[in-house]
Amino acid sequence: MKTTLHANGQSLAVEYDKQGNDYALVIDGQPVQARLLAALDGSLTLLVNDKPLRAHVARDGQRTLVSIEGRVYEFSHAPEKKARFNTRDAGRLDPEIRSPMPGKILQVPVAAGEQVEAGQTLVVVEAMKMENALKAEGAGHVKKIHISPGDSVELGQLLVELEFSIPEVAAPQAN
Amino acid sequence: MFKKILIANRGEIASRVARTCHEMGIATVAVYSDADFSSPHVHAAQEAVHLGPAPATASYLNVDAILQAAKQTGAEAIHPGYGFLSENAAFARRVEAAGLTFIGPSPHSLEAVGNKIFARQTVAKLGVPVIPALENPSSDPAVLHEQAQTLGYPLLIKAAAGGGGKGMRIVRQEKDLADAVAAAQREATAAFADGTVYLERYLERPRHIEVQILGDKHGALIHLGERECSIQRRYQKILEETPSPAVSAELRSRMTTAALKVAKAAGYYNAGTVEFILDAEGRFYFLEVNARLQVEHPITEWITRLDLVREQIRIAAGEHLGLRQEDVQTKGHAFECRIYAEDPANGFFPSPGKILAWRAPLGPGIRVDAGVEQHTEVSVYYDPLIAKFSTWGQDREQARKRMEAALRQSVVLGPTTNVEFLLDLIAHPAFMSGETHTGFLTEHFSQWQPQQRTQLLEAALAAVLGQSVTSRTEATPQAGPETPWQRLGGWRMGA
Repeated sequence: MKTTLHANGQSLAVEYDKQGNDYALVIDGQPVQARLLAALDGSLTLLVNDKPLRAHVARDGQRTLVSIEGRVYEFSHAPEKKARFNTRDAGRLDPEIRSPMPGKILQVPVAAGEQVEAGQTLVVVEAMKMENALKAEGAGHVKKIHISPGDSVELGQLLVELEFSIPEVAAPQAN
Repeated sequence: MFKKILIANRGEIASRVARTCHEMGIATVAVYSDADFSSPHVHAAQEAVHLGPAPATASYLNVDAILQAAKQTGAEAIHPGYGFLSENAAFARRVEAAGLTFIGPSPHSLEAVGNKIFARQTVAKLGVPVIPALENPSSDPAVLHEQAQTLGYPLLIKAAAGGGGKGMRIVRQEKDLADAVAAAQREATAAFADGTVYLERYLERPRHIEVQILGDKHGALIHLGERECSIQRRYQKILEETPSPAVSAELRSRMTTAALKVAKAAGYYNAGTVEFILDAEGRFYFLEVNARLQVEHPITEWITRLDLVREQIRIAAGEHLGLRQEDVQTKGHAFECRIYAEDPANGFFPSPGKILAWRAPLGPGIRVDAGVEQHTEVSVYYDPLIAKFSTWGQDREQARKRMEAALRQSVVLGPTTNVEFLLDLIAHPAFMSGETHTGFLTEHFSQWQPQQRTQLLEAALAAVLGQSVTSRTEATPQAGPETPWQRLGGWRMGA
């Protein structure tokens, strides 16, 4: 069996063969032997290269979440899916202002077509009794406003689109 | 003693109060909103009354509905927990007018300490140091700018009625002042129905130290030592410890004396906390009184071996405290980590959602106060606190190692949480040496990202095997024609 997982912009090719509870895997080019000792309700007890491993796995739509030793790893099966909704290349400005959480639009202190400075507040979202000001990352003008005060918004919903007046800062070559 | 208590709260604190009531042989009544039908706190009580729709104003802040619930169930007292109505003097008055007991300080004390401007003035008269502040900021921007000039930057905007960081803003430059004041007023109005704010000089790198006090209705008043709560994001604590690595026996004696002086002046009874900030030179200043049980009370319980909720209930029932200052002997060191559904790599934004997997840590010296169970929801309507892990050790390092074990053993899948952040935080050299201050996270962790590499291969393996196991179960081939059992979707009767 062959599959590809994606985590934080990185792809991992996984191949595996299984015989009973023994798995021979090649992950990202590395051979791994695993024995599945128990699997119950998302909790896996394993021997990986003869070392004990306990992992908890949960599926959430396109995401697979894995918890090991208190750290959570997030995988997706579709490469274009971003693991975290606003993870993006360092050094690039983001012209799309999206809601960081479900909440309510409190203020939109800019108008379509308006010139904005870097750091200028574009939208104020309220969620869990906290106000969060979403700011322009660079100077430019407001291309489109998709919401108005009082609207309820979802996580990741597009709120405002900007057009930066200078070309985007070049992304560093190294990843 | 009361026979039945209504707990006017939700989440971990409601379950925690119910537990002590049960130990004392007191029946409990839970209340809940539309968002909390299946929440654990509802099932921690013997009876439960539905209050109303999910927004807090319609449910957990709905005084009429709460009093009605108490009346219909025959509860004799109301425990308000923390947050919501816990420091609301008008609510405490309504409770008493209904012939019930409010488990907390008197309405008069709540008023005295609740208004921070008034509290500052009272405390200054007692000779307890307060931070230079501007108590009557003008609503005219020009006058406000002038007033702020005399105080100097950086300064802190605070809500007069507030707490929990709501309505607070640091202003470092004059040009940000007007916007910050307006935002603070809006937040304060939304959270406390009172938009009054004041300005205070902002001290750099101070520690947040608070003193737990306990007093009865007969005038006995003692302290239970201090807690250090310097590790904060957005002015909200995420990690607390006791004793503070920065407090010597001599300083402790001066701070606790000041705290008791403040409590006495307010005629305070029940459990309360007097907050101070401690500057880099070892000078302390009064901050405010929290007239309720604190979120972080378990660490004091660890080192004093007292149950603060039990003491609260006994005091409210009119019993004598029965504890003298010399009876309180603290032992060891304790930490608390607050597990929040929030994303530390993304401005600590709340991350509500369904808890897909939840496993509480176990082991020596570990206590868990949880507000969730597997498949419950972290609701967008309330504080995103999932659980509190607290640990005790003979010394700071043992307590810290136990916290590390607790965090590593815990499982929370679904919402993004701060568990991994806390793991990195408690392993930071500056934290390990006790060099904490309220700017600690900004100084050391503002660029924090989850490692995602530590055990990436193992995680990928688990993701694939987890998938393979699930699909194998789902794809079990069915031989022959469909039977009624198969149509029942996997249910078996009498099996």
